Amino acid sequence: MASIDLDRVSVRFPIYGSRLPHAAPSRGAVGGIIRGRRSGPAIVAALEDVSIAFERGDRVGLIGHNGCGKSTLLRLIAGVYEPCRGRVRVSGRVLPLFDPMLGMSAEFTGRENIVLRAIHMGLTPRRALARADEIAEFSELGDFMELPLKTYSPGMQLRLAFSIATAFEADILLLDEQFMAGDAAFIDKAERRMKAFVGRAGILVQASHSEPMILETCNRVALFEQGRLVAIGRPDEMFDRYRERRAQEPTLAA
Amino acid sequence: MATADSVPEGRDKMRAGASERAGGRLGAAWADIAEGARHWPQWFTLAGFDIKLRFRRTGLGPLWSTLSFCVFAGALGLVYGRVLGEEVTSYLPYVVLGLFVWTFIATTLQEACDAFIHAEHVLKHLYVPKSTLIYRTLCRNLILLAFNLIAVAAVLLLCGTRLPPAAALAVAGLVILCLNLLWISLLLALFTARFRALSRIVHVGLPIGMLVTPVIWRPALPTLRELANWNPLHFAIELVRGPILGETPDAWVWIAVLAFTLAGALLAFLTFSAFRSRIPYWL
Repeated sequence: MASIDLDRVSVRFPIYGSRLPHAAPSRGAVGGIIRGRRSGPAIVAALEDVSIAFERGDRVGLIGHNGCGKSTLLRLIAGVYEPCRGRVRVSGRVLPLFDPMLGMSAEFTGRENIVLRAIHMGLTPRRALARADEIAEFSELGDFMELPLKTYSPGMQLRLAFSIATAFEADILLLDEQFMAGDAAFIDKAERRMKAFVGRAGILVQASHSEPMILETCNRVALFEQGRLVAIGRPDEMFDRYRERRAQEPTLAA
Repeated sequence: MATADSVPEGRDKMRAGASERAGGRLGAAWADIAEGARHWPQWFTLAGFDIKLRFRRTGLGPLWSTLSFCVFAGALGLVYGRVLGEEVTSYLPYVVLGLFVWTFIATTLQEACDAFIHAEHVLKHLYVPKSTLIYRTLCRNLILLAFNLIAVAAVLLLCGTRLPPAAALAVAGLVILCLNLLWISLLLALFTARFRALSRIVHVGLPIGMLVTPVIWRPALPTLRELANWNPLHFAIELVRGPILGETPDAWVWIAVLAFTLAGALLAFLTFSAFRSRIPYWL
């Protein structure tokens, strides 16, 4: 059963090798709050005291300005970071899609990269190979599958990455950015596959700046600001609040 | 939903946080080490890809490792055999076996320093048991060790070395050596992630380690023997070289080495459980 439960979670990154000239917390227009310290490294508070829970059927959009903690939240759910404070409980098979090319290497062939990419999704090489033909066929790369990835155009590379990433099921899908590429003919096909793929997942959590995309796919939206959860609710309402808050801040409106 | 072609369950229930009890940390560290071991098809394949990448388009592939080892160890054996006035047929196997084990130890430890740092991108994008990177480093070096074994076998044949029945103990010696390399690698990878200078220190220290260890010289003089008896690296090499050359170490050596292994593994485990969750923050 897919579920995500974050209880009063904080994430603070010590930035080794960097110090601030003063000890007071500072707020920029973007990013989390930076705390300088008299001794030791500067600290960026990426998430502060966030409690949030998602369950089966949730299609969650994360919104907020750059550095508000969207990506950190996704990485927390993915298990990349363990929180400095609070608790994270995740049950279900998690598939993070942050970097579509994660684990792939330009020197190896398309077929070898299917194995590499699948290993970085937690699959065994054997299971990757069992699906290799089908993945190759969907990507329409033909004989390029036997050539090194460095001979591919960026669009072809993303075609392959997309075909691998969407070939395996997961209960919880984490998307950090739009995950589409290739020529127009492929985009149609990819969109259909992506919709079916997302439809099968129990939970989708997606960080994005694209309002149309979030309004189309999400049924809940969480608004973040400087590492804090401001509100969570209906997508249209949350976007209204987001615009309101941005208008109030002169640095952001300008 | 649980079809055969789905992403596997990660840690079934992720429980994490600074409020975690000490017992939770030990459990999480143990789970990391055990889960990493279960992922052997993954790290074994990745180790293979590492080697493929290193020797791509070189014609001979990893046999280059064998060849360069052959030339280096052979030349060193022939020259120093003369310098030290030793019989070539007994000195050459001694040196080649010594360098065979030493190269394995040195490259494993040096590469272990960068195990987490080189995987920064991966460690910041998805959950992986941290131990898989340690297993992968050791596995990669074991594959190269297997290639160097060809050179060792050739030298032993050429010199007419006759293997005593106890030579099989060398395999046990290698297993113990690997266990020690695992815990030392874990500590090196962990601390280098936080203190990058450690990799440099190891780089400076390893050649000195080779000089003070009887790799190419024999501890014939009493003072040298005493020095060697306080040097764990000496035992690391003798556990593999000794049995093959008919000088199997005494029982007390094996017991002492096993005790050392256990103590070290315990130390590394406790350190790992204390700092494991900080690794992605350090990168």
